[in-house]
Amino acid sequence: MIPVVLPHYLVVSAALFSLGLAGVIIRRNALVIFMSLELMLNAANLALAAFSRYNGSLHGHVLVFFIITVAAAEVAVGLAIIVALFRRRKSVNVDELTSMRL
Amino acid sequence: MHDQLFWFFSIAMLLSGLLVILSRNPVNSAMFLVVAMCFMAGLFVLLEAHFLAIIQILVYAGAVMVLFLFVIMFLDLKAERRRRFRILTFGGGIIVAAAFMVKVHDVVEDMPLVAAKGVAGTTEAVGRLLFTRYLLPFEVASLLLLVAVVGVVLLSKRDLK
Amino acid sequence: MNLSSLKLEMATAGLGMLVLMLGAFTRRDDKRFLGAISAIGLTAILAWSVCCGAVMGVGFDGMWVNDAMALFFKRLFLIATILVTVMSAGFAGKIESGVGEFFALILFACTGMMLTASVNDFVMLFVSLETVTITFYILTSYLRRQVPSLEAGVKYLILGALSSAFLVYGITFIYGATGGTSFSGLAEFLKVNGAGGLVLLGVMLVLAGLGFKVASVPFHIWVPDVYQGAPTPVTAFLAVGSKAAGFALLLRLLYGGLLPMKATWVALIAVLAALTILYGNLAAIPQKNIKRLLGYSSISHAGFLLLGVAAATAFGTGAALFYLFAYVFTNLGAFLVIVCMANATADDEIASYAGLARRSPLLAAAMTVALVSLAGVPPMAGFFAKFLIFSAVIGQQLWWLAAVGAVGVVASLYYYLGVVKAMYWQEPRQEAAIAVGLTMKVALWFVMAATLAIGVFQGPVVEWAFEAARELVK
Repeated sequence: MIPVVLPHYLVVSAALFSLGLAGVIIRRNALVIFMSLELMLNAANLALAAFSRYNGSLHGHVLVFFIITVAAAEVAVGLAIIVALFRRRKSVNVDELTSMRL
Repeated sequence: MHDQLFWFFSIAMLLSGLLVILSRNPVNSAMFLVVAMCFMAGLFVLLEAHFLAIIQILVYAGAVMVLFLFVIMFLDLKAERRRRFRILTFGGGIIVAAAFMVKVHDVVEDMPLVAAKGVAGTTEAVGRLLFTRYLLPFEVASLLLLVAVVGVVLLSKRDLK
Repeated sequence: MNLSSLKLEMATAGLGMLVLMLGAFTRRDDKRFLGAISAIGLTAILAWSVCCGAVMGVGFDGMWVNDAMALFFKRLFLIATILVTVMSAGFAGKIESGVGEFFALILFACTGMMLTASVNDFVMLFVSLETVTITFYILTSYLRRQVPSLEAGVKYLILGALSSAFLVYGITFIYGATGGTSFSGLAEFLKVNGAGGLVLLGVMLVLAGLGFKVASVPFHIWVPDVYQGAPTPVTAFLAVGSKAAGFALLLRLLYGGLLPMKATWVALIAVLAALTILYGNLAAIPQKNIKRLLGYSSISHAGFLLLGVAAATAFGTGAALFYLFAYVFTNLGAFLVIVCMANATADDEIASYAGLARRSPLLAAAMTVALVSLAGVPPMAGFFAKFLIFSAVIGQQLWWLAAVGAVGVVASLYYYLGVVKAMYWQEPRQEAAIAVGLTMKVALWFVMAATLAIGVFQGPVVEWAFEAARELVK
């Protein structure tokens, strides 16, 4: 078998990113869309860790740290907004966000 | 050993990722996302990113996903109705994702296949970098967290003066 | 050197925390007083930056740059935030809860924007940009009992998070190729290896992320709904502050990290600018809601700003900076009127503006000045800004771009003057006069005067903008 090297990790990361992207486009539930976005951020984290290993520097790890921090803040704020919307509309389906039109 | 574990972790992670976006019930999606993150932590360990592996479990799988599950339970969401898949959306999603993957794959093909010796990402090593070179973004992140705390309290408290 | 060059940002963040604390001890009816504190504090910081608070130089291992351009943007953000704070004080009656926190969050957003002006490193770019974006998620959904505000919040949240994901993935590839996160490292890498493969993919993804912030086509889809649904002062802040922050980052990146691949990005930005101008202006024509109209108009202005960037000279960049400066006063003037009108008529339909000249001559005059300046009619600030942009583009022999810009200007005259026509030549639905508070009156007069003054006595501002641009585009 071919030994596992950097491109293997990158292809796995790209596959995960694509899964997340497909989820954002396909799904209609705001919560699941948000989870798919987390998948995309995780894909970036994986690629960063792999690059760090092969570049022989830790800068990538620091960036992952910041991404996790920002993602945690984003999730907290995002879920608060989604809950507030649910209280008004009793739905988290993004197809029903149609109060504004031309 | 490294190679076998890599294949195991990545295939398991991608399968859980697939189930996240295909499960009809949001609770299942969230649980599969937790599983995917745990396998991701395994990949971090293989990359000698020990600190990241720990915070991946503690912060992501632990805190962030628990928040997700809380909200899903709180909203008491029913599983989505079985509905006709709109071919256009579905096909569009698959095509966009596939195109992106092909693009990355093409780019990655040119990468030299080196397996250089990396530095281990221990808590000490990452912390040292974080508090020296990256001190400024670290401090800015604290402002970001303050904003998030204020915002969440405001948006979700029932009655506020 | 390191900490002292952060004085202005620390003062703004500190002011935000002060307002947050005072908010806890203020009675509900006195909360407007917090707006006064924010506005006065910001004015003091602005004055400080002019007299002695600005320390120039590079710090934090080169990830932080305080130069003439950074200072230009910081003052621009301070001015915009002062006006938005005044506007919010006029809007405070519509905010059910958390008026004090509203002002604090605006101050934190301002801090984030000021940070973006000095960014010289991808980690710093990411963190400061997210500080601005996450604050805007909260501000957009601030009217948490009104469905449009929440819908706008969810849309901004999902599309914003998507653009952050692209931005992060782009930074990842750039890090993978160059082995570092600094702009200068990227420039050196490009000089030696050229742009190709991994690094090119990374740069494209990062530019897509920034395209979202400045609302350029094809990353504009969030704009109309978010502009319409968000609280009006937040819409105004998005239109001037968030957009300017995007441009500050774009300029920093293009001239810091991407200078060796200038030929590539000039072509790319020129195409984006043309599409953005055409889309923004044509889609604005059938609009019936004034905030939505200004949303499309803000897309078209992003296009004109990108024209200046695409000229890729010190002159073009200076023109874009002047344009931003003029745009702040002009656009905030229009939004001040919208806030006053919404207090009186409770909706933002253009139909409600019919016969406004009879109901409130001041509001009609202020709106006319703003719209005429946005359209680029002399002698307003907007005219001279467009004049500079077109001279820069023609100076680079980009005739087709100038032609597209001209089409955009003509189309924009139609919809801006449509509103003016409604205000002066249509019968009002109601005859009742509209009362305008004293603070708002002062703000309206000030913005009108500034729009005219910048248009007539352009000299100092032009010099200031061009000095900043020359330092960036050596």
